Amino acid sequence: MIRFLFLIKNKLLKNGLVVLLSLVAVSLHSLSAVAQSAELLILYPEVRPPFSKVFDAISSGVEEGFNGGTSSEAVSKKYSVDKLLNRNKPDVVLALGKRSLTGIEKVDSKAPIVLGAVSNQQKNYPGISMVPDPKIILDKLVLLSPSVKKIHVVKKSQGSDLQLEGANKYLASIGKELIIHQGNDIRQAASIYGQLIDGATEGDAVWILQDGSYVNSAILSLLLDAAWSKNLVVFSSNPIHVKHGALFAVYPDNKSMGISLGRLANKVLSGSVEPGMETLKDTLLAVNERTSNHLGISLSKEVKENVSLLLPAR
Amino acid sequence: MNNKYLFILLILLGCSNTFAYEDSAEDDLMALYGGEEFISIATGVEQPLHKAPAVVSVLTAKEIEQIGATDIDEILETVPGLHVARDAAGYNPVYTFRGIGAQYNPQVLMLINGIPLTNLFQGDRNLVWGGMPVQAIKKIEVIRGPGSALYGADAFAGVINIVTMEADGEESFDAGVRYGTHNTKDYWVTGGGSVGELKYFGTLESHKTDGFDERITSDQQSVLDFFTGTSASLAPSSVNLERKNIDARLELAYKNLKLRAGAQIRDDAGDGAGSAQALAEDNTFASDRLNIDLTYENKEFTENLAVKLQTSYLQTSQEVNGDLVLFPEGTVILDPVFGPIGPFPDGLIGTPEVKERHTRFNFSSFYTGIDRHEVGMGAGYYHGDLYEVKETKNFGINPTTGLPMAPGDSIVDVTDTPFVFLTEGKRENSYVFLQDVWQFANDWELTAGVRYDHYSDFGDTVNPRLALVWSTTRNLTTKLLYGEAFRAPSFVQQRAINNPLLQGNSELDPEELKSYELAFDYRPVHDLVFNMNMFYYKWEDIIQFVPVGVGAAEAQNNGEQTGHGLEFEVTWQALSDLELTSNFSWQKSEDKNLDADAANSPEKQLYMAANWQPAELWNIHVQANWVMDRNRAAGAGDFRSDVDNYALVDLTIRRKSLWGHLDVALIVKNLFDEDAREPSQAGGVGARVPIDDDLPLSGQQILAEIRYHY
Repeated sequence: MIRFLFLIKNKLLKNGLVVLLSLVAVSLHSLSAVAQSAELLILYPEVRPPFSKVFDAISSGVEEGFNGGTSSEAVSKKYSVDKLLNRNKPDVVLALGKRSLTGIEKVDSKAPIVLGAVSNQQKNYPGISMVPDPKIILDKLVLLSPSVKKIHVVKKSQGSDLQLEGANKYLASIGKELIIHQGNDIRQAASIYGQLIDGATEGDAVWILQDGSYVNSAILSLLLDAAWSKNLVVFSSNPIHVKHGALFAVYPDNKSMGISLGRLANKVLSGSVEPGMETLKDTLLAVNERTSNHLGISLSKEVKENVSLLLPAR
Repeated sequence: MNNKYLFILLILLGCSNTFAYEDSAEDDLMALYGGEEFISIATGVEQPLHKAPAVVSVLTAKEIEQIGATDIDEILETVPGLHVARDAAGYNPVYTFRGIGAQYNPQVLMLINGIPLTNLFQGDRNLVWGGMPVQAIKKIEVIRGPGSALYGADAFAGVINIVTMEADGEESFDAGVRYGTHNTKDYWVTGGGSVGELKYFGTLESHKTDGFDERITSDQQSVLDFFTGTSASLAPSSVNLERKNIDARLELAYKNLKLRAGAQIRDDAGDGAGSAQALAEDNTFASDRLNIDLTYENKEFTENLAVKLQTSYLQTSQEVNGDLVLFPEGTVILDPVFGPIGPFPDGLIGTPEVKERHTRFNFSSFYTGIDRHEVGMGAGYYHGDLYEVKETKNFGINPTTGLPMAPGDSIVDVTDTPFVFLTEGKRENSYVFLQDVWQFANDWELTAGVRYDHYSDFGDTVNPRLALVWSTTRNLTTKLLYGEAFRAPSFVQQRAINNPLLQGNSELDPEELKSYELAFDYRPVHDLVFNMNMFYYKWEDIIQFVPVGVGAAEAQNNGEQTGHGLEFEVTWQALSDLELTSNFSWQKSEDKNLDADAANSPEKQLYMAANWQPAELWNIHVQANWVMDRNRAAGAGDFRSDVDNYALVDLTIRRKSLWGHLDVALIVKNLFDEDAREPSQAGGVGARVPIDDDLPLSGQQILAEIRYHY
């Protein structure tokens, strides 16, 4: 009941604010008609906590970044996306998560669509992927372990090469080398990791990609054991690997990503965006303190300012 | 073996990809974060465990819910090396760590949000404890072993820090009801949110029960009946464990300031198996405990300096509803000097009441400006005041006449006379501490700390600690720990008067403890964690009531105990939806004065639990707890056969998000209705044991719970 009252209060406050802003806008004749009435509908999958917290944080960022009113609808079995769109009649739709995407693809939405909180690349809609931008990850590597020269990465054969090509160019520009190993299946990848570990020397780094680079728990254990004994740097795009002993990983800064999605929706409304998803640039950094101590990495003030989550030593 | 072949072998052996999940709306997030645990941490639902140069267990709200715990004692019992025994009076918990236990349990420090609950009167949490519900609890941190170098007095055998839900600004609302056996009715409501920059969170909980009605067959009155030829004892009869509790907590947070207030109201709290181990009709207690604290904490006070300033106030009372009948109607007591006195037609009545207030100021700071060092320092002041002692009674000296009262005389008030049971008084304590965490090599860290305490009544004490932590391999961490601790004498030990068997002694020194621990944390694969530790301790200057003449005993630093043992824990995420946990504890402690095994604490404990999520919104938790090998103190006159071992099995089935916002649960405690008992106190050398067949615990208990959350 209290929550319900809060929602009503917030709604009233929000609506009151919109009315006030609209009045100011009318009196100044300075805002466009689109901006005055722009309504964004956030579609998010109905999930339990803690998953729901991810969408809550994104939505709160969207409210901050979007120049207009926002409303949210949970996509569940109860209502079709069509019904949700008819009920809200938005000017732009932000579909968060795979379920919202699947739902909106089935209907003929008159409003333009922005996509967020999905990890696969969708070419039909503008949006921000949950896949972190490789340059951001590599910048963190340089920050934490500037002496690394060689970075090994195992890529799945069917994966996109565009990101790795970009990473390769970027690393070359700062005097570092990206060595790409290609695996066709997990068996072949395991063999590559074995050779890679045998050949690696102190200060080399291994990068585990967002798609897992074929790393399962057994391979990760052996990789991290070898890294410990040979002082290799293992970093990942998957934060759970940090808990197990990888030096660092990046993960989404959901609120900031929401702000970026809100701003992207502004651009979509003004017609200045092409379809296609951007990589994630709003990220946070998780570092394993035990591993950084082992590698002799001093967590300087600059490093600490960048670290959002310092997974403690045991 | 060549790495290449080892890799392939592992894959062929079917090491599954733990990061693959079945298709659901949560797929992308699980793949992205690698698991629900990290999503909880990344979204602030859970905090990552902090490293600690100690043997620590952290019990989270999630685990409390899974286990179906309705009181902190049920979750604390799952901690290795910790057993919750019972005292006859009110069935108050006796938190027994590693073989260190005593009737009033002052050797354990319980904190709420880092602030002690310790009462001056008995050194415990309150004689009218009445349990503590769990809805306001975010987590409980349990340190086994001493912690006086950080926490000061009474962080002796162990420290239990209860951390309540924080005002994080998130809008939340949760309400629940739980009904069950023994006419148990629980209601609660919690809610949080923010107004501008002010964040708030509040909890209100109500608990009412008739208590279980297991029976005891003899009591202290049975002993008197045997010697005086009376038949006044109410035994066999059931123990008296009814209670009505109200618990309220509120937290307000504004920038770096936090204001917390709490109330624990206890009423109609039954006296268990009697205040003097004698059953009586209708004895009930009450207690009001109110606390408020204001904290300023700035983790970035300057570039490398974190500071915390805190002041707190705690007011407590221990009260009796009506008269407290120590021995029932018709009792004839045996005076060691004058022989049998009685019969007392209304029973022997002595109604003690105590009120206290505690004020604290603390400052602590941590400086990280020196490479590879984290230097901590702090200081504080405590003022405790046992400001009101009241007593009415129908025996002893009548202060009006100056003559002994005769059986059948009416009750007189001896408050503020020399004939009351305890003198009022104050205690002041000031302290400073210094600590350095020094990472002196890549895989080595040394924590060295020392705390100096000055007490207005018993003087000075210095307690150091050393902790060496070695990251031995990627999978193994080794800790070597040394610590010293002290336990402040309680006011009853210093100030009790007019009871020849409980004479206080103002010259008492604190009890002291030295402890050595070697601990290992081993994680051979991702989903498997082993923890093991070995310990040795020496407990000296134990305060005991020592005979000082015919029928008289005085508190003295008299006892000595040593102990050693090990604790072993394993946690295994066997499947993505099945977690298995188990722990085993073994300790051997020796009472050096009696040259015998220490009594009453279990020498072995085994705990096993499985938590299974058969479907997305279902959770089934089953646990079994074995309590074994509790000795009697034959040297102290207890010749009963050892206490029977017991194993209790509990089951909790929970279905979440029914119709969107409802959680329902069925909780069954002591599923197989096992006859479980905790040891009763012996009568002393040459005396008969009052409660011969020990203190029975509850039989099977079934509770149904409905919770609404938004």
